[in-house]
Amino acid sequence: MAFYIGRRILQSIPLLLLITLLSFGLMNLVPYDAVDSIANSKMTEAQREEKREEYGLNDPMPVQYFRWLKNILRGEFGNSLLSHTRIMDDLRIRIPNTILLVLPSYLTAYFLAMAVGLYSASQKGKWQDKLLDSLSTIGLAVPSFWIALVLIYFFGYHWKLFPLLGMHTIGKEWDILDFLHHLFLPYCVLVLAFFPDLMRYVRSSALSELRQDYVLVQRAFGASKREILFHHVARNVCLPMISKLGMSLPLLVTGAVITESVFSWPGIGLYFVKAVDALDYPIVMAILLLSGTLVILGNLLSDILYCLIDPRISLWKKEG
Amino acid sequence: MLLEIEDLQVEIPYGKMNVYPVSGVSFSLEEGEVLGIIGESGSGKSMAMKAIMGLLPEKAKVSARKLLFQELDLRNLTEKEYLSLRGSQIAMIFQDPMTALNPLIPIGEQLREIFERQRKKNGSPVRTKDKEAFSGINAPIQPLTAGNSAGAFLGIKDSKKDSKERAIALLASVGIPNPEEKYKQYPHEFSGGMRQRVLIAMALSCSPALLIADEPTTALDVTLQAQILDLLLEGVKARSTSLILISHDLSLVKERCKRILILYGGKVMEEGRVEEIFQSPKHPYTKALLAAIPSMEKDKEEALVAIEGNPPSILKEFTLCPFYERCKERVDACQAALPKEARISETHRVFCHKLSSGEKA
Repeated sequence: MAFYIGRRILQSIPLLLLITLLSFGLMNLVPYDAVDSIANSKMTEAQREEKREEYGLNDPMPVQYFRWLKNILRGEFGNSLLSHTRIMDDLRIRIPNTILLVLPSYLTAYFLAMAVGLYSASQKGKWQDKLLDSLSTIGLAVPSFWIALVLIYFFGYHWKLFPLLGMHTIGKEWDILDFLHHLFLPYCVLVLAFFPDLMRYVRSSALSELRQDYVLVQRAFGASKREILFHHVARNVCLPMISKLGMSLPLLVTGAVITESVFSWPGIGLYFVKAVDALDYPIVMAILLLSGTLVILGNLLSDILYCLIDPRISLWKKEG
Repeated sequence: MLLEIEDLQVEIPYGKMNVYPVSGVSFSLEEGEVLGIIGESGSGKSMAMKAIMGLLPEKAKVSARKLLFQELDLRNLTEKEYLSLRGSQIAMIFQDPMTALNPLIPIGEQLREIFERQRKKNGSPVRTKDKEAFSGINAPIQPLTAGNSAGAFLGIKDSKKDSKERAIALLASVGIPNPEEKYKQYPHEFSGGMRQRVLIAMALSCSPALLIADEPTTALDVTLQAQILDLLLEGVKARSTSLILISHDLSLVKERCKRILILYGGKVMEEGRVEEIFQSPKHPYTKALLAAIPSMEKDKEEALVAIEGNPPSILKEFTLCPFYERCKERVDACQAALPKEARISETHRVFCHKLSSGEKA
């Protein structure tokens, strides 16, 4: 197992390098002079040139790339062009904020989807299933920012039940209840955003499991449909769902970009959107790299989970 | 009489049309009897059996003049009533053992689940007959099982441990080597033959009154067929369970059944005792089937006889004999109506115009 994981990590190194190359290369193709964000309108061309030289922007591309890479390996993403704060410090504050929002919503949607998806599959063709199916189609089609705005309008503005934006009331930074109060609306939006896709996934894999021979065999041996669904089918549905869990790791960073923007939630999503807006490219590169790395890690994680859970997959050759 | 069926019909909506996989099947089965049902693919044999077990899709319509199992009318049984019947009174084994077990649950757990369900349903683990039946199959495990069953009846042993021991004993009794080790293994660690043995163990575990084996060896290696069938027959005999053995292979059924029912196009063509069917077949279809069996004695040069044409469409109800299209012995009456039953003897009946219209077969 350790050998397998080690090998997989080694294999992911070239991929990661490719991601750094892509994020660096793409950002450098943007028709934009980085000096604009440092310089002000009063500077002369000579002063601008001086700044360029100071920031190393005149060096050839490969030199700049390797300098960046070297810094990343030391855990240094550089400073924001706008605020001049260390990106690493910003990330340290913002990543937990995003996780606090995305993790509970994703887990809620995940387990809800398991239950509802199984139920829907068991009622296939009946009105309950049709209702759930159309609701999930609507859920897929409706963009999350619209839901967010509707919720804000009714619950925040109209009935004044929940705050409109932010994560804390100023001065109440460590008040859990205040935090939960702020969390509720974006949490609902994200649950609604994650749920339909997961639910349809569970439903379709449960339906294909229900067509398997073992279901008929179990019925012939006297198992009720309920027993079959929750004992036999659920296990087989869990398997692809667990791999889905690993794949969703990058969501912890990028899962709520839009929702965070709408609710001004001080997480990575909002940070990223602002950086893109201002062409604060060190931040954009750092986040591209981060989410790319999480995709690779997520894949690795789901492969490992698969090996641990599916008895048919063995990393060791059986003797005899 | 264990099972009495008269004029069983199955109708399944298919798009805007209906299919009629079973149209008017009648037969009966005594307790402890072994009946062979023969028919090619699409002859309605599996559908008829699923109708008996209440396992057809919900939209399927089952009707019959009589559908009695142990004097119980199966026609209007609710799913809940069927649940108490399936597994404990009627069980079924299917064609493909490779897909019949849940791939993610260890064999032992799948087996144990059946006992435990049974215990929950009727309080006592199994019918009393089971006690002797257990030791019947395989002598060496006798002391172990006898002890366990006794423990179970006295309610001394912890039920989970007890059912584990029973499961292991049952695995041993169907000829699975290292049952303790195999108990923990998953289906993919078993070969096809071993899986079918496990399924037989599962089906027999509750000593049902009726076991339906739907082509139990079709998906298996030819060399295993006899072994598995003999195991099945032994197990059935030890529990005085009745067996319906479905096959498309007449020669497999020949030595193992007393009576044979031949189906075609969802209808009975001929029914009789094995000697009657093999020595004096009356229906042209039966004769064609018998001619198609390869024989060791026949000349090697001789080509195998095949029945020309294809099985009939079941998209509409038959107004004529379903075998008409492929029959080589047609008479004028065949074009007029469905043939009526002709009794050859007490046990031998046939549906063919050549016999009912008095012509010599």
